[in-house]
Amino acid sequence: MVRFFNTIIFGLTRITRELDELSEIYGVRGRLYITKIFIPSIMPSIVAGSISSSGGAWNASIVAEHIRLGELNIDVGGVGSLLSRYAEMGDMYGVVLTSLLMSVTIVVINKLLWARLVRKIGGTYVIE
Amino acid sequence: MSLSRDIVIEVKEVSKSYATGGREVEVLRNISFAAGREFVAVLGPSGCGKSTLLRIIAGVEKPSRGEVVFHLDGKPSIGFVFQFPTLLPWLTVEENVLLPLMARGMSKKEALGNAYRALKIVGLYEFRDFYPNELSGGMRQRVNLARAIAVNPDILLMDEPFSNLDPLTAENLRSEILDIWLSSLLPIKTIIMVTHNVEEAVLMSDKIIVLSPRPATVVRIIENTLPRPRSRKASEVQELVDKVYEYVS
Repeated sequence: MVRFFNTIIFGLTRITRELDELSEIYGVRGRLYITKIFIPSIMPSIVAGSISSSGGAWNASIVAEHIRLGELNIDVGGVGSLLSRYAEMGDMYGVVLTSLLMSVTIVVINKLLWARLVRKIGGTYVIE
Repeated sequence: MSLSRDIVIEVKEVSKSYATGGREVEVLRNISFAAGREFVAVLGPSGCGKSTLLRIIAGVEKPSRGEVVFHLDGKPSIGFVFQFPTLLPWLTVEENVLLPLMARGMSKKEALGNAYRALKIVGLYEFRDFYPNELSGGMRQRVNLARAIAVNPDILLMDEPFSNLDPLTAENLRSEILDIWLSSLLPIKTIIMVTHNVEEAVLMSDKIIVLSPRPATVVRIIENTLPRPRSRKASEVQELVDKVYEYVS
């Protein structure tokens, strides 16, 4: 979440002098300014922030799925816990297979969601 | 001159200073001129504060001293052609032209009518669904122009509109703007164009206001009564260009 907001705040500087001038001269204010100028101009940052924070979140949640602290044993299930249990049991075959499955899932998500978004944003939302 | 009868804009002793880093920088000093129903070129070296003057006339910046008076019924409608196209890359050509009209609270139907007419005038109606990055530099600058004329301006302000185009494109756009201006297709009363190009000022304008380097002061106001159309090669054009160069340097 922090990473997400950081990237968005960097995005604010993207509202360039030029766009300011445009909205000033033609009196683009209020809702029109927010929807037509403000939000689109921080879109690249929103996407970049989403990608980086979702990656972070994915990492954290996988690690957090299976925790063993002495007597305390938390297992919420999922690919992270599966990986961790295979590793504990020393099942190499299971570890490799699960990792492979996870990698494929990530690649699919990247291709279907993030790459498409980046292409769309990069094409029209970036100010030269 | 007879123009005094229908003066449209009066710039009265306008001065402007900025405070930067604790120091006061004077940009404009006592600028005064009047413009009637004519094409005015404001000529001065780069960075002399011409753009600031234009922004003051547009009403987005306040002069430190002096005032700008409009002799019009009601609030003046002002079109502004930026030095760079300044288009929103996420909006189509049509949406870019519509934006100022929507900002004025025009109904969608009326705004579309205006936008289409402006796009037809600049010859980009067929490209209305294109995005700016699909257009050439010259076309983008024409969208910039269409956006300015779509608001049905009384006064059209242009900030070095040709300085970032290749010479050929610039030449075409110059004659297009002159055609629009001379055809009285639009209710534009006065055009004020800021430029650092002497030839451009002589070829296009009825009045040339020569500014000095910072702080900008009015060096000279030249009435340009050469008959139109003007050719670059005509001897009287060349003479005036030479004369103006003397005031500039």
